[in-house]
Amino acid sequence: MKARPENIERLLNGYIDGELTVRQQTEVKRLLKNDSQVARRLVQLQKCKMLIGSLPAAKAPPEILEDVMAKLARRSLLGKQPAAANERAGIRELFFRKVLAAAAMIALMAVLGAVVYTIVAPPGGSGRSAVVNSGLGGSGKGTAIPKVMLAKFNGRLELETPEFREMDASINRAIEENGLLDCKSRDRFGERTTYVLTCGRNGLNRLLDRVEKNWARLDSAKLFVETDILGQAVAVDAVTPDQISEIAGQATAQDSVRLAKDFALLNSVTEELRGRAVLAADDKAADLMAPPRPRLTRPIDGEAIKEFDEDATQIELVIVVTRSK
Amino acid sequence: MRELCRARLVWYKRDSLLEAANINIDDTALVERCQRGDSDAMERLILKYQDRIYNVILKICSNSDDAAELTQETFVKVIENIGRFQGRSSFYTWAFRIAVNLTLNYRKRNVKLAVRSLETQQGQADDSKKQLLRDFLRDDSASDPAGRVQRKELCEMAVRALMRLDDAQRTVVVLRDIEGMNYAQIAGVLDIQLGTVRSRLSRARSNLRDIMEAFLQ
Repeated sequence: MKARPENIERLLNGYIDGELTVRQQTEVKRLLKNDSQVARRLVQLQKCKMLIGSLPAAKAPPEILEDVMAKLARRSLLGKQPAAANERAGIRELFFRKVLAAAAMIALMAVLGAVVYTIVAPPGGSGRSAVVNSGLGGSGKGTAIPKVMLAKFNGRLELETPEFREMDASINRAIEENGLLDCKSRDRFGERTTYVLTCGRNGLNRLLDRVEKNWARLDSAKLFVETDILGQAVAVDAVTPDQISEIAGQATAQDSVRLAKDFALLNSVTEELRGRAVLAADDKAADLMAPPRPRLTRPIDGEAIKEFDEDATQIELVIVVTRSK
Repeated sequence: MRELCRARLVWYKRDSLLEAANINIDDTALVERCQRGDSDAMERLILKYQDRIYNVILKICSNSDDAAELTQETFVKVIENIGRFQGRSSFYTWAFRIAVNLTLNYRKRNVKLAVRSLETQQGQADDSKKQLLRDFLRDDSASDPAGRVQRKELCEMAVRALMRLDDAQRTVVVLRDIEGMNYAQIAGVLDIQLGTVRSRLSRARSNLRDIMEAFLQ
């Protein structure tokens, strides 16, 4: 089998470099003996090697040593430390840079967060709606809202009816059925009965709901709103149970008085319109004229959200039932 | 043929002497002293290797100023990193690896400069030089070929031919035929396989022959 030329070339190079095994050397010698071309090639390679190897060896400039030592000293003076120390310093610096980058990222995120919060969050801080319709009965689920007492309401409700006995019995029964027995004192004198109720708003509402169906029997229903603070009374003619409830349920005495005045004006206007007086007392359309007031869950000026304790005893209402003259 | 054999014997003796020098001179002790910060040992290491390293660098880059600068840089790196030297290879191989890497990197960075430098050196050889080279390459019967190669003109032609090789081929030729390293040492310095050294050296010598033949045209 004939060897490939490049393999022969390698063998010949290995031969002149003394890098062949004994077996390879024997093979090369056999080739040289039998193939004059290979022998000639070997001579060429030897000459080539000889020529390159004959190049005069250059001597290093004499100042090499001095320059190297000077360079080392200069680097040492400049604070260049040994490699191992450099490596440690490099690791420390890398770590410091990483920490610095992380801190910068956190600071940037915080600033961005603050900017986004400033843009998105509503003024005043709380994300809750400032106003909740009272009809929804928003109680602030999940949030502990302190209950506060409503302003004390003093009022006097004078009812005149031709059906005194029925009306009186209806009120008396409503008081008993709604558990307000302990809250009342009753004084009957002929065809005039006076009830003095001391109860909460819920108790009053239950009573009003119960007697509302008999409201049509009345000739007259007049509410006098009295307040301890203002020392004055406001009379509301042709008052309805809803109006009583609304007036008594105001947060402050001033609000009760203001609302009572509004209802007084409203009722006087409707009274003048013939046939509308009963409507004002009975028709639900009256609600359109007096829409339920929204209840503030959070005052705009930043006060804490308050929820009123509607069971607390804050209403003193005197109900006077008389037979119409 | 007898002359050639004698010449080969001379070169084998030279190789053996170089190898013996590498083995006999105890680098290990000097390196250990260097690692302890002994400046005297550093100086001795530099003095021991400066000529050989400078010569190899010069033959690769063909510029004496660059060779001097690169030799300095090699020793600076050797001393600076001697604390990391763990003796997995010989100090000789390690130091030459630094030198060759620095030189080849420098050549890569300055490839345009190197080409220009080569072009300026490539003047036409005069007829007498051509004849000298022709006689050397083609006349196998000529007497004393070893004596002939001492001729300055032939050396100039050889340097020019060497510089026409690419850096990788030139480096193996220089390490083998000028520095006298064996294949294993060359593989260690260049961080390549032994087989790669064989094939690269074979191609390099073949190309060198072709280049020199081309000079005669």
